[in-house]
Amino acid sequence: MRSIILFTLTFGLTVSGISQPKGSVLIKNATVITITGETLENTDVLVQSGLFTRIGKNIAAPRGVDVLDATGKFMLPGIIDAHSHLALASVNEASSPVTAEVRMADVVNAYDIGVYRALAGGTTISHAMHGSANVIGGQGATLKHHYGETAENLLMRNAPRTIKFALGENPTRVHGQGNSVVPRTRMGVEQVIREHFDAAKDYKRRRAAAPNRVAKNERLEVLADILDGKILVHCHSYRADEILMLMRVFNEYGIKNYTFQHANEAFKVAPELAKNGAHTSIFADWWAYKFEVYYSTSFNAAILNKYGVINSINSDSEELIRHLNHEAAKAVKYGGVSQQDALKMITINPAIQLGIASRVGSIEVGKEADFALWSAHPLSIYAIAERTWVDGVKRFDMFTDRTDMRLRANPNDKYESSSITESGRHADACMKDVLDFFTMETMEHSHE
Amino acid sequence: MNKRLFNLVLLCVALISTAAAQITEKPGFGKFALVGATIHTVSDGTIQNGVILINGERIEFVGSNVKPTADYVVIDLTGKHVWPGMIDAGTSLGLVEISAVPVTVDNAEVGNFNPNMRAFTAINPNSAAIPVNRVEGVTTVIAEPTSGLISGTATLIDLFGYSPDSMAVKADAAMVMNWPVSGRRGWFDQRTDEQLKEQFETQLKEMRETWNKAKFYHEMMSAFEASPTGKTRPDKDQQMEGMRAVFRGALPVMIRVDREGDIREALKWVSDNPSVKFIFTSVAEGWRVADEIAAAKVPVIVGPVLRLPSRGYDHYLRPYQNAGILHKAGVLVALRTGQMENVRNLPFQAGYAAAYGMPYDEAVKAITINPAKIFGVDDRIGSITKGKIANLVVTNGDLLETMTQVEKVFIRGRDLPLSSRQEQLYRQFINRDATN
Amino acid sequence: MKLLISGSAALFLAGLVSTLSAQAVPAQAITRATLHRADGSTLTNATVVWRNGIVEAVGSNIPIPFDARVTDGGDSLHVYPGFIDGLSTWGTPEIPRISPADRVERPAEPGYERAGIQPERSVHPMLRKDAAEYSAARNNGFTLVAIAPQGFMLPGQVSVFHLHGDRTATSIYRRDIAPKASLAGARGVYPSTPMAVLSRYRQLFNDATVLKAQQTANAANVGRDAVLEALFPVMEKKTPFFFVADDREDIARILRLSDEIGFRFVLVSGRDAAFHAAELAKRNVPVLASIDFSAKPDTSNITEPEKMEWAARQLEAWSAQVRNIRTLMNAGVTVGFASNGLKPADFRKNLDLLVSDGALTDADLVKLLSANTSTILGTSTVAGEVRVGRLADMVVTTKPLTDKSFKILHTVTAGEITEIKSTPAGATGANRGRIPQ
Repeated sequence: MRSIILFTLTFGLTVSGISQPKGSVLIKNATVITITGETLENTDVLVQSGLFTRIGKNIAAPRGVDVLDATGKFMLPGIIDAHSHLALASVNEASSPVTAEVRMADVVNAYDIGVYRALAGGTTISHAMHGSANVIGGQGATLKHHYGETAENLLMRNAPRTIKFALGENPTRVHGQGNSVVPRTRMGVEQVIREHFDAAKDYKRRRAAAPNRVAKNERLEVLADILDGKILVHCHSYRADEILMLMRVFNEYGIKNYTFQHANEAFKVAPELAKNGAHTSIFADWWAYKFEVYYSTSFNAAILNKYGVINSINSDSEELIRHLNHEAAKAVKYGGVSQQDALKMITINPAIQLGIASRVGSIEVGKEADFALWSAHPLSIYAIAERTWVDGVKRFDMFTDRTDMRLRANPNDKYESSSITESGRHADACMKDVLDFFTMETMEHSHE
Repeated sequence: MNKRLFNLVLLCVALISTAAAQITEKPGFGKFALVGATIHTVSDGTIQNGVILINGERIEFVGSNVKPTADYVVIDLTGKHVWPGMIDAGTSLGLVEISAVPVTVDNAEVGNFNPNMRAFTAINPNSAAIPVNRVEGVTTVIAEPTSGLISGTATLIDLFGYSPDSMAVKADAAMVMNWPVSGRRGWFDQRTDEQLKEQFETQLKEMRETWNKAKFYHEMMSAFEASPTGKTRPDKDQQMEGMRAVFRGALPVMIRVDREGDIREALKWVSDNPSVKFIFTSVAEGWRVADEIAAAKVPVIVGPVLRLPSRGYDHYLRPYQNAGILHKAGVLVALRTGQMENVRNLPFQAGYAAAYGMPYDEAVKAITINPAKIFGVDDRIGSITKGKIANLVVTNGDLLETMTQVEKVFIRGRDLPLSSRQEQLYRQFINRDATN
Repeated sequence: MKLLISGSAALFLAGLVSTLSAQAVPAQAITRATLHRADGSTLTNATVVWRNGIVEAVGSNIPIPFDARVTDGGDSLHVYPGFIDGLSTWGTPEIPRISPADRVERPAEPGYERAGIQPERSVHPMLRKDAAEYSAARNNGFTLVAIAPQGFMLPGQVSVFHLHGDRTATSIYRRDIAPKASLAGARGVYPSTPMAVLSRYRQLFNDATVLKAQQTANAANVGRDAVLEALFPVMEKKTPFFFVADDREDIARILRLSDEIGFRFVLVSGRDAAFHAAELAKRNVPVLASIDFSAKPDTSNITEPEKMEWAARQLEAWSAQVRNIRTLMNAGVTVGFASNGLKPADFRKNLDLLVSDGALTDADLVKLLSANTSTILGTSTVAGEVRVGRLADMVVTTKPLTDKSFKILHTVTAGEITEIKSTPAGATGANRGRIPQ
């Protein structure tokens, strides 16, 4: 096979624990949008072994480090998508309202062309989540977009554990309406959470007392870890009432550091969110695709920002993840969020929400060198991501990449076969696999 | 905080108690003089420091160096930009309220052959989505039915009015035909290859038979009408009647088609029916067949631009480049969002097309004068031209740029309040009492 | 490699011989044939003598017993060890179609059976007596077959049968040698996706660990659980899982799971296993490889430059698939054969591809189809080679397997000769699709 096989994909399984690939490069004369500090004109940034090591003027290239003149280009930290279902072989285990034991890390699909397309939009990290069919879904995987590597090398090393919760229409539709089990209502959703938290506490006590008699329970262990603050909760939610409900429950069980995903009505309870230190991760402007998002507003980000809620803008879509910079610009358009704050919503804020802000999300000495060079200010609609680096390794280059960037071909494919999908919420990735589940047609998942 | 929002916030003091209810402010109407702005006429270049006079529903004057008489309400737009109202050539606005709530979905009738269905009939002038989208400068949309093989007629409406009648620019703008799809529609499409092929061929056959039947019906009825004496009047067929305007050449057929092979088949259909006018819409893989579409002189409505490449091995930019490639080949190109709720993102569809190869002016035309031409209403809308309907958008900058603010919208000469439920919610909650 | 299944094969064999030799059954012999061996050597002018299903003598110029019925090779016949199918589904019931109307009350807790967790289940009670594939496979040269039920994550035990045509279902040779496993979710109930299946394996091992500890400690009120008990030998690494997977990422998932919860496995099918060749060799994971190749992409009509690039990649992908076994063998992986759903009618075509495009030699084919598969099934002391004291399982062909025009003349299953009338056309009425794995 020609040069299309990249990096370690030729070596098969890599040993767990081996560090991710790291690269070095010197970027000269860029406009550096650091995010956490000033935007620096005509500035050089040195990347060595995957880390930003110097930011300043007239930096000389150490021996063996490639130099790239970025005069006229804008350097932005890699965009981080706090809500994605990219690169996953399965998304929803829709058979049970609680499936805390399943791990998205088990089913990473390193061959998803969507990862490359995301890189081509300057996005370097995505939070690969379980779908929203279940009240307590599976554990998330924070992925570094090392396109061309195996699944193991896509997993960001030492990223905090996360888990998906989901409130409202999706779990009540799947389980209550679909299977006639609790929950069919938002009342039921609350009780499912409480029952399982209580069960986890009881389990932990019983198992501690008799470890040889009480088997390790994969599900309850995870729930107990949530209660112990070891896992960050990312909760699919829309309505203000359900957001308040979860904060009430979490306060009662002592759970901190959580993020409401989608949260279309978060603006209605921004003071309460701020008071609880809860975060939000929202769409820039999606609404009206179902009833619980009918009373939405594209000013959501502006209101949350005003109240000091740490907010990010996410994609939940392999299409939107291609242009999260454009989605962030909508926060400026709707409600006049500052450009700096808007950019934070796709860089440092999602990093905070994933517990990785000390490592990524800004251009600072010592941080991991995930970044892209843009042809114009990234909030402009004319800005084109030209090259993207992950840990100092260039993973996308619009000038030199081939047209066909698939990592493998399927001999059964037909040249003409195409998949035309609408953008928007019509093909709701959050509910992927649920159709499989209900039609029971197939459980075989495409790996191509 | 920009001026528009500042005004809104002031307003909210008065409106806070009823904010979530209705848009109560009446639009201004009469004689307006828009002075000092950069006017992007689209049809006749750009005028710096220009003047537009609006009288009633119409544009009375476009130019510069004219001092309006005292009966005009003068609106100083120094530093601003005026553009024709944007036209989204493919939406479900007014037909769908909440996508996942079937009882609010009125764009998909039962059956494969529904030429008698009219989108016009089901337009809800009070859809919450209409103000949400028009305040961002989309003044006119095609609202289209979607189901079956022949879905019914799409309607071209302005986004202001109390009834479909008062909104209609062209009540029946095109007959929508969905070209049978030879591939999968997405990850949710579970059909096997055999099922796909079988369904595709069955549908194509059905479409051909129905089309021929309708054509025969039209010819039969025309023959009868030309000289009814001595003939028995044939029974009227409601569905077939719907197709007669098509065969008369009075109503274009808008074929929704995306795949390369399907486009080629559709082009054959076009050449087999020289007396019928055709438009292609959606056209995701139009770039593969650009020269052939251009040669057939079929206008194309591309969109959404922001979509995924249709094949795994395709270059990642193809969807963004599609409109530009078609334009370069000589195709008359308009754009569509294909949306209901976010028709307001139409300028960004054009912005991406412009960023990736479509000349800027052409991208603006693709959301103004080109759709007007395609639907035969360029004598009334689509550019800032004397005598045309005053559908105008005032911005503080580039129409296609995300962060640009829309500061005024005129539809049919009406100076519309920039209010929508989304802005009302903003006003209601931006200064919420934190203790309650 | 080490025997995967420790057992009493030799004892069994001894018993078989002693009981049968009491009766004076006539011997049989093939003379003047070319005998092909797994080490790549051939014995020309060979004579093979067997009696009571067991080879009595092999060699050139050896005496032929007076009571032997002789098939004279006339210097043109070739004798191979009987082919062994390392895992098939011949004669097993299809997975029942489950319609939404069959939905269980609580899909979250469907019970072991509905969830496809049946590692204790034996295959022989469910085998159809009249499955056309038994004869079709025998016509293809197969003499021994491992069969396991179809199903989801743990559908049941693998058992080994003599391919005796219509008597196959009752010709059980080794019962319940190992549980078949896969990442297939049960439709409509938990676990329905690969990710939940992986978690379910973890939980099963947790549960089995505690049950084992309780039983060992003779604790009061310890229940029996046939499902968990069937997993004990796997957990103790006495028995491997026969893990069915094709996709390279699924194989990586199984490798990680085996590290995490601790089990050995035989990889079954493994159409994409070459990607992990080095890792599989290092870990001593054998592969029962499928030869169910995709159709060769037809790129003959492609002329446009963009399409030609695409077509080249298609061909490369196809070629990698056909060379999968070659790559694995080169890396030192023990590769045997599993039909795993391949239609008997497609066997010969794909066997020829292994030679023409898959770069396998005659010796490789003997290893793949006989010797290695036998080793993997733990039957290497009794089958897989034509040697004295072993089962008289043989295929007699007109030409070497590497010659595209070879025809099978006879199959000898445990001494019983079947004359093959013509090139097998496959089993009629048995056009099953591949089982979902």
